[in-house]
Amino acid sequence: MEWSDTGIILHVRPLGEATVVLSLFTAEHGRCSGCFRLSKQNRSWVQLGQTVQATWRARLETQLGQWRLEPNTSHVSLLLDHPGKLAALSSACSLCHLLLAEGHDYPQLFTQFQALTLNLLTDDWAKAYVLFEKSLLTELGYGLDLTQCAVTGVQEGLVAVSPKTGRAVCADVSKPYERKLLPLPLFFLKNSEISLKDLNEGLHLTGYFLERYAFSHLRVGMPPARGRLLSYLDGQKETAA
Amino acid sequence: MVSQELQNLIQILSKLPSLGPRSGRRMALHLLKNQETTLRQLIHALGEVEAKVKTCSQCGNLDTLDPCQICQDPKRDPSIICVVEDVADLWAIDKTASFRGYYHVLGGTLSALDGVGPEDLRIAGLLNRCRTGDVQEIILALNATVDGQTTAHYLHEQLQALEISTITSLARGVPVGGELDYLDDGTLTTALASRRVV
Repeated sequence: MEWSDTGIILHVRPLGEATVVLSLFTAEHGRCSGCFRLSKQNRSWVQLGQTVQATWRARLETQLGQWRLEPNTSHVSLLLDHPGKLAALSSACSLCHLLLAEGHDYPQLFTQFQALTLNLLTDDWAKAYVLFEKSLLTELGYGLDLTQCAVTGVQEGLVAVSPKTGRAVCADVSKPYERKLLPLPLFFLKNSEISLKDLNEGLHLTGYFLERYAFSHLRVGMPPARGRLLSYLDGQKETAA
Repeated sequence: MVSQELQNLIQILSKLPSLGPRSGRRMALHLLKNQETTLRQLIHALGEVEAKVKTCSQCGNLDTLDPCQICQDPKRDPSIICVVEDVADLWAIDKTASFRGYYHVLGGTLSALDGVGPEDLRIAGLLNRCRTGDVQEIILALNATVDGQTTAHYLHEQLQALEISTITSLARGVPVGGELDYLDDGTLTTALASRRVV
């Protein structure tokens, strides 16, 4: 069988000398792995985050298969000098590689991943990354319910999220449980200006649910790239202070 | 019918880089046909390499001496260390004779999914060299890949804490003799981004 699709390289694992096993996040076929033969010409662009036009071929659907790839325009090279953006890209690739089921399509998340790779070139890259993690949680079935307060039903003044249910809580209700609840940054609810504190709160919020639910059944922990992103943002906070 | 010993030899040879079962068989036959001129010399050379070559405790290079010949060279500039990923990179840079400082081989790059962390690389040794020696500049000559540059950023962070005055990295862009028409998008984009005044 054979199919063609647009994809993003999520993971590259060497297989012998000149072959790699590539994990791609494709638009219509979800995450899929296959072998790809490296050459002098393609070595430079076979790396994480590269968008490609991919053709996957195998005798059976369950086989590892072979990739035939053509690179699309990619901006990964522009991110190499920025530690935060590079960590965000690595982290997004790692999370998708580890958490997305193989052969299951995630068309919306794919579009958001494509948007993220473009947003990483802008100043709002960190916000785009956090919102991507929020979308990832939704796709995995652990989405946050931020439409209304879980207790009163009000839709305004939501300030926290319950770590048990992932549902939003309004300011009045959250006060006695402030220590137990997770702060909800405003940019999760509407497009607003953000501070480093908001970003950290956002990453903490998504990180909590990713770790507790999405990674709970895996033998690996959260990707170290995400940790590097957090420490990069911490460093920025210290510089700003 | 190939004997077990010969089968073993073919199998070992076919595991070497760039060789497969067919070329392993050809090599084995060649060695057996030229026992005096090739086989014995190869056995001797392999024995010597096994007995004498070791990893330099300072830089991670492979040499018969420890510290290696490069680390013992007094004509080199002790204030500059060039950090490379692998011994092959060290040899490639040293072959150009354009760098007269010392080297440090990391032994790989950080890789989140392959489980390579800072503790798996020779990073502590580098930091130690920077602390104890009079190092003024560190050149991060790592691959222009996501993993290579992630390692470079990590090292940069660690080295900044040691107050190394200059931390540099290799330039990226059009290779010497390269034709623009044949370059990939990423290389061209980086070349444009790091253009310089003529």
